[in-house]
Amino acid sequence: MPTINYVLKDGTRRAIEVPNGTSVMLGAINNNLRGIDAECGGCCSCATCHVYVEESDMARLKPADAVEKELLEGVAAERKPTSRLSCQIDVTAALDGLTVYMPDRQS
Amino acid sequence: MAIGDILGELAVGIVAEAVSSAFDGGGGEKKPDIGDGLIIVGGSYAGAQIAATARDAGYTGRIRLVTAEAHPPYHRPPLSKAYLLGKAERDSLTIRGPAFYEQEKVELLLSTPIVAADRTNRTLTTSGGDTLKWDRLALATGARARTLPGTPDNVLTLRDLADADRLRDVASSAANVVVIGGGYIGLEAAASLSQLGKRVTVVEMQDRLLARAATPALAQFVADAHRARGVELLFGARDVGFDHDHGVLTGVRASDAAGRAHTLPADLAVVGIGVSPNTELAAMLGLAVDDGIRVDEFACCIDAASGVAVPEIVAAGDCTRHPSRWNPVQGMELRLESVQNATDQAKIAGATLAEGQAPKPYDAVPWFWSDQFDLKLQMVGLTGVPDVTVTRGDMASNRFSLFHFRGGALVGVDSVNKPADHMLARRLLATQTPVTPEQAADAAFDLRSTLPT
Repeated sequence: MPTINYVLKDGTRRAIEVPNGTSVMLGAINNNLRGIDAECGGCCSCATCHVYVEESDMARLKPADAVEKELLEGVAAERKPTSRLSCQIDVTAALDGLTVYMPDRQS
Repeated sequence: MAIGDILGELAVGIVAEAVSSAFDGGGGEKKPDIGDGLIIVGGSYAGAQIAATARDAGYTGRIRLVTAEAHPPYHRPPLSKAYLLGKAERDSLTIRGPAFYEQEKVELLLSTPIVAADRTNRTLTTSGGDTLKWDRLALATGARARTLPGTPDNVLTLRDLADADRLRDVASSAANVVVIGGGYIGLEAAASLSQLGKRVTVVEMQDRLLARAATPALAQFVADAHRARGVELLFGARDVGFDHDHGVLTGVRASDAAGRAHTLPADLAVVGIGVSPNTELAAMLGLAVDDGIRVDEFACCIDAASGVAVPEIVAAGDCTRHPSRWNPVQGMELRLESVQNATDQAKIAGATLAEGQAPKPYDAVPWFWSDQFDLKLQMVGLTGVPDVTVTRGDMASNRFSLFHFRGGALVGVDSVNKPADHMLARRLLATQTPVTPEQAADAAFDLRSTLPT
């Protein structure tokens, strides 16, 4: 199972094994990692699962699609070039070791 | 009164439990805690969020979440969309994973319907006859689907996972589907079943879709979109009836607006004609009920006799009716059926339980979403009957937003495949930023420039 590193708001680092075929968002929800709200459950409607991806990991991700890009315009925290919606990051073996940072707020 | 209560409880052998904070807010007098913590009735968005917020706000007492369902709280919107289409499975629907309940010490009582409630003794009674004691109570009882009387087999409603499993099962062998009710649930089911290759007809009693939930302009677009994708629509339906063979559905009868009678062959019918809030427990508790459990802006329930807030009992979500400045009918309390309302009101309710009164009253802008076919609909604000509507973007491209104005003020925005407009509109409405129809209609004008910095 790929390991995803989540850096919480207080700087705590949590390495979590997240099953293939799920999402970085679900990895946080299923392990009670606070900082990702995911109010819409992952259907790309709410922009409350915003994360910052480690810059050196960006190239490993499929680029955001048009809908995700639009939603990212409305995230509550600062939008950065590394901003992504974690429900849209599908977990695969290629993402083993990916690091994401929780933003200061989701709403 | 308070001392008498304490003595009464001690006399029957219940020892007071120290719980974090004293109540000092709210309109009513909070009774002292006598054990056994907070009980949340109802396992959906509001129930899970109340538990999370109460813990975040420092509540250290026992928390039990009691639900009649066999599952911990799960996302319901996918039931008519991704789950029905077979694109999402049960595990992906969970709102909070097992680690949440374990780490936050939230006890789950599954498959436990509550059949009675008593405010004097602060107890609940389960269908199994057990008595549960509470100091603080949260009602997140939700709503149930309205049904039609005397329906044969294969006439289904869609509200919970058990409903969705039954629908998936029947749909797997169905060819002709009639959806009764052109609201969001009905239209989402119609879109999903149509995508699964079924022949689908939507039968609606009003003369348009989404009569209760959307502006005529959006409803017209949605109707055209469904027809273009092969769904038939029948408006002004009267005298809806069912034909059956030994109790199994064979057809749906209805007359249309012109009075012509139709018989639609059907081996599956989905009834989506609205919901009724679950208010029975609130009524047993002597709380004010009026097509919803009445709550104040801090999510406190209200004593039916005195009209005074009851600080130890809160309610949140579809089951409530609450004061709201967003209501187009000013001064009227509002009942909303949405994930946003459940989540945001539950945050207020959880904070009120933990701290005596939430730091801020409930004032979030209402927003909704619905996915149908390739259309992502996102609505913000309660538009009522707008006097000006302008289109931003190109309707023919299926990517546009409708900006609605009443009395010169922006009151709501419906977006189709334009999530950026939706997210911006939420901020425009929340901050009451003045926007003119001319600005909204001009796609070249950057609406973000109007926001306060």
